[in-house]
Order: sequence, then structure tokens, then C-alpha cells
Amino acid sequence: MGYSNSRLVIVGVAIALILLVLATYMLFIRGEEVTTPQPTIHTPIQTPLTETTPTGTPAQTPPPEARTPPATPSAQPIVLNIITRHPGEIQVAAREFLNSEIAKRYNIVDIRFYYQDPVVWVSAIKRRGDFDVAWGGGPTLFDTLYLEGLLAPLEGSIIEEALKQVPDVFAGASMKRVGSDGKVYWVASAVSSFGFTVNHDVLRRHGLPVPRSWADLSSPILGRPLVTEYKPMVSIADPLRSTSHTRMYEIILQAYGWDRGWVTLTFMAANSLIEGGSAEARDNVILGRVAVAITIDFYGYTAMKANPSTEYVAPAGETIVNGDPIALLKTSRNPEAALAFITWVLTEGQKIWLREDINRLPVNPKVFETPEGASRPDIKRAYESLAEARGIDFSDDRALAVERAMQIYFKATLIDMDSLLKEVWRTLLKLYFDGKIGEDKLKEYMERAGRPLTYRDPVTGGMVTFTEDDAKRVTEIVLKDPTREDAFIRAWRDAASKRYNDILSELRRIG
Amino acid sequence: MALKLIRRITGALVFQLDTPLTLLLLFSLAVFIAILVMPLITLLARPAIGISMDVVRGLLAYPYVVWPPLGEWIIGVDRGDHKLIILRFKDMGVILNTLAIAFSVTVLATVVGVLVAYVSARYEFPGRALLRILALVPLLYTPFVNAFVAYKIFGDNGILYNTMVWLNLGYALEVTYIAGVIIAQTMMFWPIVYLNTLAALLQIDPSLEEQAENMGARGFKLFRSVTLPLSLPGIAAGAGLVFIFSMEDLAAPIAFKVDRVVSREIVKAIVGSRDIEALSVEVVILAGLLLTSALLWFIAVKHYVSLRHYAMIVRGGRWKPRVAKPGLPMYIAIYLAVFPIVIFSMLPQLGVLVYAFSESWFGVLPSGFTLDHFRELLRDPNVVNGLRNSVVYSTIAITLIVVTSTTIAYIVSRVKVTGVGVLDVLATSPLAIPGLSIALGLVILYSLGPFKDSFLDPFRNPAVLIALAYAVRKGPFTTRAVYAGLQQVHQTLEEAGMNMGASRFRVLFTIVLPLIGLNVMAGAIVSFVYCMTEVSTSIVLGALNPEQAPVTYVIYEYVTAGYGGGAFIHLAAAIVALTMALQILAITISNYILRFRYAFLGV
Repeated sequence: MGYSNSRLVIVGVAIALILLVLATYMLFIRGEEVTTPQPTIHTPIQTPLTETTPTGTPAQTPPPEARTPPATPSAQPIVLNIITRHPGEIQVAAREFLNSEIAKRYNIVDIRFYYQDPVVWVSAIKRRGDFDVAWGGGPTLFDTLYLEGLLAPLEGSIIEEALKQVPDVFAGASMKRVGSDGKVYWVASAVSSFGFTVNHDVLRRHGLPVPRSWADLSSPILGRPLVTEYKPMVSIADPLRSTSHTRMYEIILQAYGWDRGWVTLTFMAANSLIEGGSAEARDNVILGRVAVAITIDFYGYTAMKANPSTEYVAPAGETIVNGDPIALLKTSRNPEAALAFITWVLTEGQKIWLREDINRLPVNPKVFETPEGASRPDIKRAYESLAEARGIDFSDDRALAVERAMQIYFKATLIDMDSLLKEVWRTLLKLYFDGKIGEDKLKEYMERAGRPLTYRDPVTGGMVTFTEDDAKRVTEIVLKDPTREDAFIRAWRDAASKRYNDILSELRRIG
Repeated sequence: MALKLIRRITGALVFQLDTPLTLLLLFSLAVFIAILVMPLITLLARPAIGISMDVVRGLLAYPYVVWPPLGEWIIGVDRGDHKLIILRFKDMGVILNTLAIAFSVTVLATVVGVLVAYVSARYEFPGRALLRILALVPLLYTPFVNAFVAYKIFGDNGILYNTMVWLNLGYALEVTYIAGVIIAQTMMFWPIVYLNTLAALLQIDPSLEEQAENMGARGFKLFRSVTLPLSLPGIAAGAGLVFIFSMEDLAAPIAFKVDRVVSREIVKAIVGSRDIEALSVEVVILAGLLLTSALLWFIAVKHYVSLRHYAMIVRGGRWKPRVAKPGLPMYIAIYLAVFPIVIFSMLPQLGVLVYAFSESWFGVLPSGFTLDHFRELLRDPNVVNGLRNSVVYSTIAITLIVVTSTTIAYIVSRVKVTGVGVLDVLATSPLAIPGLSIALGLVILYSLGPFKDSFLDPFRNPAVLIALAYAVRKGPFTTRAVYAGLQQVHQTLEEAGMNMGASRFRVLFTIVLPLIGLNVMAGAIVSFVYCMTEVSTSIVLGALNPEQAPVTYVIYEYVTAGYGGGAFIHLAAAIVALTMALQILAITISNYILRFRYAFLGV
């Protein structure tokens, strides 16, 4: 009577729940639809850039499918997984690859992009285990991948011809990472310079001159609106979240020297609205919230298109050029196909940099011989003037050796201390603008506030100064054991807080 | 002692429930324990690792507590032909800023909410129905973009400033930084107090007020001595929710560039951490503080009034409403104060629509009407993916919600056993528990120990936890709807069935469900829509694997210029406009089905 019915219902409900769990598992863990590639109207143009016929050996362990490079498409359709820092426009433009001959030859039916914070790249690559290519994110990020042993050498005749077309050095910067075995581990696919973007409307509104050097960004002149209206005129980003800003701080430290560089960074931060990422900094200047943001060049070009009152400025003699790399990852399950994609990016694919919504400098000069290249004389000019420009003597290795310590020191003493630092700066500037202290005294206080701190070392317990050598030491310690970062952050915050408070009380006594 | 209690409870349960219902109960309990209780306990216990006197000292110092405060309260700037007044307020450190903002917002929102509720409940004037509808507009969930619009309105070089300059008033006003956050959050949250107060006011037995009037109390005295105390439970419930929502809000601090608040510190730490083990202990403590404050408020209010009662407004039979025609001063107050406040609070939602339909909006006026952003939505792979994920998660969530909510609501209202109140708290508390705390707890619990690298590990598949978190966080809407329905199904109907020999479970399926089916559906619709617009866990868990992220994560990325692309605010606004339409549709259908008015709107 009663029970048989409810038993049926119980069984039904149980089955439904089990199905639900299975469905969830299927949907998220195993099943992934292969999206069909978007059809593009653009027909690939045959130019001297087209790829050479593939012959010869695959890069490393042979893929499960055919060993010999196929003249016929491989049995399995291939989907490439690419981890990238390139934004949406570039990802969409890169899909042109799927229409190319080389893609068809390797039976590559789709490319999938994964945009991740640079902080999580290493763990994402390791955890996921099937990324083929890493693309875009700056040389420091790729050097980190190289040091972690995640990159595979770019070998094979497919790629060799393309590698020959890319210069080894451009404007003093290396375009390739060559390992101790003489093999190339990453190669630049685009070229960037570093500078800042100004908003002329905002500068005019506050009666400010156009900054022309990094030092200008830390000047008292730019700090005036901060004093009168508490409005910071500059925007910069947290180096922990932005590889381009990390690079720019490294440039400043090498261009001005360690000590003077930190003073410049300190007061640039004091003048700034500090953001989480470089895009937010750029958007602040586009939207007119600040007068200048430090930006990588293509962000500057994007800004100029979004708001014509903005302009990108590369500080003369104080900037460097960087190659933005592409590399093959050891975790790739389809290394041959991945190499085909990389080859395309270095040759035919260079055209995507010339698009109106992308505006980046290509690394392969042959692209200017194509019709697309001819239609962008402005980019060609920028490329040529950069090739001749004298930048600073920048050492990648020197920068890498202190990078992590620089980033967390910056965060601990400048970002976390933001309000206090601004209070010091405003008090100092008020005294200066009111004529209560002279320029010499001003410079003296700035030097006192900005030079590297002497702090209590959490490891030894003794007092130590944050020199470049000390930064090297700290970098080694925290790279080995990231849980020790907190202790250093606290020590630096304490020291900075004490220093700023001391200076503040002194200044208040004067005023 | 405890053993006896357990034996008593299980004995009563065995007697009153039958097997299938017990299984459902255990299943529901399992879900809540796994997704709510365990993560929160983990969150509170975690600081034990890594805590030290140093950490505690650090939390009482800069940047967590800044004393004396830094910055400026208010600045006056001479701009030549006018004087600019900038309202900022000083930085007092992460912890104090968050608490100060929350208190200020709660006070302001309560004042405005009570005022509007009182006017709308006790007075008869032209436009009253319109007022009631307009007051609900800010409750339409418009993640992030609404605060962005608020900044545009009264922030730096904003619409308010430019309008005042243009009107040649001699003075112009900008409200930024912490002051801006306070105003923006007040605009967003006062309708919550309004709703709860209105419900309370409508429930007051008018004879009580009539008696007081007979004794000579009139006007303000009547209000102060009778009306206000009687509606205090409703006001307190609303105010408590505002306090909690203010503390965990991300939108206003992001828009007004305030990063020294607890919510932003938590998100910043998770998004920027390489490894869950490297997560700083300060952040975990902050999330714990957030949770503790929320729990304290929740317990205080619950002790004072049962939240459950506010789910059932109409108990069969309505009082004749006590409304009066307002006198002249009241008329002036209504049209010159109440209406303007309500309309001002709607501006962010309107601004979202402006952003969605305009090409650019740099100055005071937007330029270029376009539908391109909506077209772009369907082409943008991030958006399409996000929408698909959101729909999948929300669907799975409401399947779970329907099962657990119905089970729990039924057991709580029909089964008399000690400890049933705990179930009640479990099912309705998620409304008041900060999503960021739940999110952080989930991340910590399920990415370490036995769960590391398993399919539950959020660093691999946040999808699973996102769907489950939705089910727990947005369940209360359905639970309350089911409670309301069960109030109206008299117990004798079930007893009749059981007398005839049907098991409890069969009675549930054949008698109760058909009668409350519409309630369940109405609640599920509302829950679905709020799952689609959920923010906290979506952002935190979505950031771990953007491919599996829901659409609110996409909106967050676009508003904070993520994805490295251009200023995507227009696109974000278009997505939000769509969700606004979805919400209006859902709430209308839901209300029509139930012909209740305010029981589960908004909150």
C-alpha cells in the first residue's frame, strides 16, 4: 500500500541526484566543446614571409601522432592552449592563424587563450599541465619561466628560418633568450618601449607643464594639486600585479642609480594614485582622473585613440626597449603544432600588430614590405627611430637578481604607507610653497625620506640597510621560501612608518 | 548530558519523520555544513597558524589603524569665479575606515529608510504608488557599474560640480574618497531599511495607535512612543543588514579609489597570491573580523526579533490601513525632501542605462546613442562564456535550493523537536553572512590537505564550489517563500492524510507540494536571478580559473580595466542592463504569482 509508492519516489530522487552529480562532473572536468574557429573575411597574402616547408625532426619527444612531419594533415585535429598576457583584441586577431596554410597543414582547428595574472603563471602552467605556448607578458616573466625550467628550446627547421628573420638585438635590447646550451628558449614577437602618457586637458586645467623625464614625475610642481586639493596627478601600478610597471621601476633604478632611484620612486609614488594594475593606471589618464600615467608604449597608443587629448611620451635617453616574448612550453602535448603557431606569429602573424586597434611595434622588419606594413608609415617611423635611439645601459640579469625584493619593498614602503607618505609630502610641500623652507632643505628632506631604509633584518635580528646587495640577498631568501615575505614586509613597514613619522614631527615643528 | 539530548532529538525525529524525509534532511544538512559551517570554522581557526604578537601589533598599527587620521576632512579651494568644496574625510586605517563607513551608512540609511517608509505607509498623497515603486529601483542589483556612475555624478570634476559651476552658484561641491563611499552606499542600501520598516509598519495593529490617540498622543509623540517602538524590530533587521552589506561592499570603494577597507584587502590578497599557503595571516584575520561582526549583529537582531516573521507579511486578513492626508508642512517635506532623495538614489541605475546605450561619456553629457555594446556582448567570448557559466551554476544551484529549502522549511514549521531552531538559523543566516568570508573560507578549506588537487580544489575547478556557494547563499529567498506558503497550508490537511495512513513523505509530495508549489517556484525564480548577479564568491573563486568564471566576474574585470583591454565600462554596463531586465522580469512574475508585495524583494 503506502510504502511501495514512496520507495519509488526515493529511488527516483536518488537517481536524479546522482545524475546531477555526474552531469556536473562531466560538464566541468571532462567535457569541453571544441569551438569552431570564427570565419574571417581576410585572405592570407603570400609574401616573402611565408613559412618554409617543414622537414626534419620534431623539437623534442615525438608526439603520439605521426612522427614524420606530415604533408597530409595529422589524424587528430589539434587544439592549442596558449597562456597569455595579451588582451582581447590581440587574441581575436590571432585567430587569423587558423586560416593560414601552416595551420591547415598541421590540422590545427582551434586556439584557446587563457589570460592570467602574471603572479599565478608558474603555478597555473604546472597545475594545468597541457599549455602549449606562452605568449606576451614581458621578458622578466619569461625569464622566470625559463629559470623554473618550463620552457622548451625552439628548434627545428620550421622555426629556424623565422628565428633568422628576427634580429638578435634591437636598440640595445636582446630579442632572444639563449640558454647555456646555445639554444633559443624565448624570442620576442613584438617590441615595446616604456614611458608615460599625459592628458593635456588635465594638465591645462591645473596649470602644469608637460613632464619630459621620470624625475619630472616626482617633482614638487606636479605635487601642487595634491597639496591644494588632495588630488594626485600621476597614476602608477603595484609592481606585484604589473610586469610592465615592474620593468619601469627597474629602469628608473638603473638609470638614476639605486639610491637616487629610490628617492625618485618614493616621490613619484607620493604624487600618485596607485592602482592594482597597469590598465587601471592607463584608464585613469584616459578618463581624466590624473594628468599622467606611466605606461608601456602600446597602452599609450590605445589611450591616444580612446581620448585624443592624451599623448604618449618616451623620456629621451631614459627609456629602454623590450622584446615581448613567445615561447614553447615543456608541457605541450603538440610541440610541432605549437612551433607552427610560433613560426606564424614571427612571420605572417606580425601583421596583426599593425591593426588600428592594436598598434604595437613588430619585431620582424620584413613586415614593412607587405601591403599592411606600407599602410602604417607611422609605426614604421616609430620602429626606425627606436632602432636608432640611445637608451640607457640596462642589464636584465641585474634587474632579475633584485626583482622580487624590489617589488615587495615597493609595496611595503610606498603602497602600504600611502596615506602617511602623502601626509609627509604635503606637509613638506606646504612649507616649501609658503617659503618657510628653501630648495636645499626640500631636497635634503626628500633624500632623507626616500633613500633605502635601514631596518631590523628578520633573519639575523641585526640592523641592515636595503642596498642593492641586500636586495639580492632578500630576493634569494624569498624565492626559496615565499612564506618569509610577510616578515620582511612587516620589518620594512615598521622602519618606513618610523622614518615618515619622525620626519613629519620635525616638519610640524617648523611649520 | 549531550548524549541524552542527542537521543531525545533523534527519538523525536524518528517518530515524526520517516526515512526519505530524514535522508533529505541529512542531505540538506550536509550541504550547509560543507559549504557554510566548515569553511567559516576554517576561516576563524586558520589564524592560529602564523598568528603572533607581532601580527596582532601590526594589525593595530598602520595601515590597519591610523591614528591620528591622515588626509583632510574637507578642503576649500579657490577656483577664481567660484569656491570648490571637497568633502573627503580622513583615512583612519583599514579596520577603522570600514567600521566608520559602515556605521555612518547604517545611520544615514536608517534615517532615510524610516522617513520614506513612514511617509509611504501613513500618508495619502498623489504619487504615493509611484514613490513606492521608485524606492525599489536602487534594489535592482547592478554590480559595480552603479558605484562608477555615483562617482561620475558627485566625484572629482563630476556632473554635480559642473552643474553647480554652470548655474553660477558661487560654490561647487565634490564628494570623494571615504565621504563618497558613504554617500554612494547610503544610496544603494537605504531601500533595505525602507522595505523592512514598511513591512513592520503595515503589520502594526492600528487599534494600538488608535488607543494611544484616544489617550491624547498625537503626531510626533504618537510616532515616538507607539509607532517607532512597534516597528523597531523591522528597522533593526534592516539596519543590521545594511551594516553587513556596507562592510563587504566592493563597488563603492573601487569607484571612489578607496583601497583601505577590509573588502578590498581581502580581494587584493586572494587575487594576488601565488599560493594559498602564502596568504597573509592579516587578511584571514580581517575576513574573520568581518564574519564576527556580521554574526554579532545577526544574533543581536535575531534575539530581538525572529527574522522568520518578516517573511510572512500577510497572515490572512488585513487591517484597514491607517492613512491620513498630510498637512502642509508634511506636503512640503514629501515633495521637497522625500521625492528628491528617492529620485537621486535612482540615478546610478539610470546611469547604467546611459552607459549601456551611449558611445562615450567623458564629460557631463554622453554622446552617441548606440546598440553596439549589446551586439558586442554576444560576440565577446569572455561574456558569452561568463553568461553560459552563470546560467549553468544558477540552474544547478536552484535545483539544490528547491530540495534543501523545501525540506528545511517543512521540517522547521511542522516538526516539533528541540534544536529545530538551529536548522532555521542555518537556512536563513547566509543572507547576513559576508560572501567574502565564505569565499575565503572555501578557498582555504578546499585547497589544502585532503582536498588539494582534487576535483573540489578551487584552484583547479572553482566551478563546483561556485555552484554550491550559490545554492547556500541564495537559498534563503526560496526558504522564506516556502515558509510563507506553509503558513497558509493548515496542518489539519496533512494530518488528515496521515490519518489515512500516508507516510510523512507521501503527504509532503501529494498534499503539501501541490499547495505550495507556486511559492516554491516564485522563490526559485528570485533565487535564480540573485544567483546570476552574485558577486563575492564569483569574483574570488572565478579569479582562480577565469575560464570557469561567472558573468559577474567578467563585469568586475571590465570595470576594473582587467583583461588588459580598453575602458570596458560600456560593455560592463550593457551586461548589467541585461541583468536588470532579468531581475525586473523575475520579480514581477514572482509577485504576480504570489500577490505578495514586499516579502522577498531585494533582500
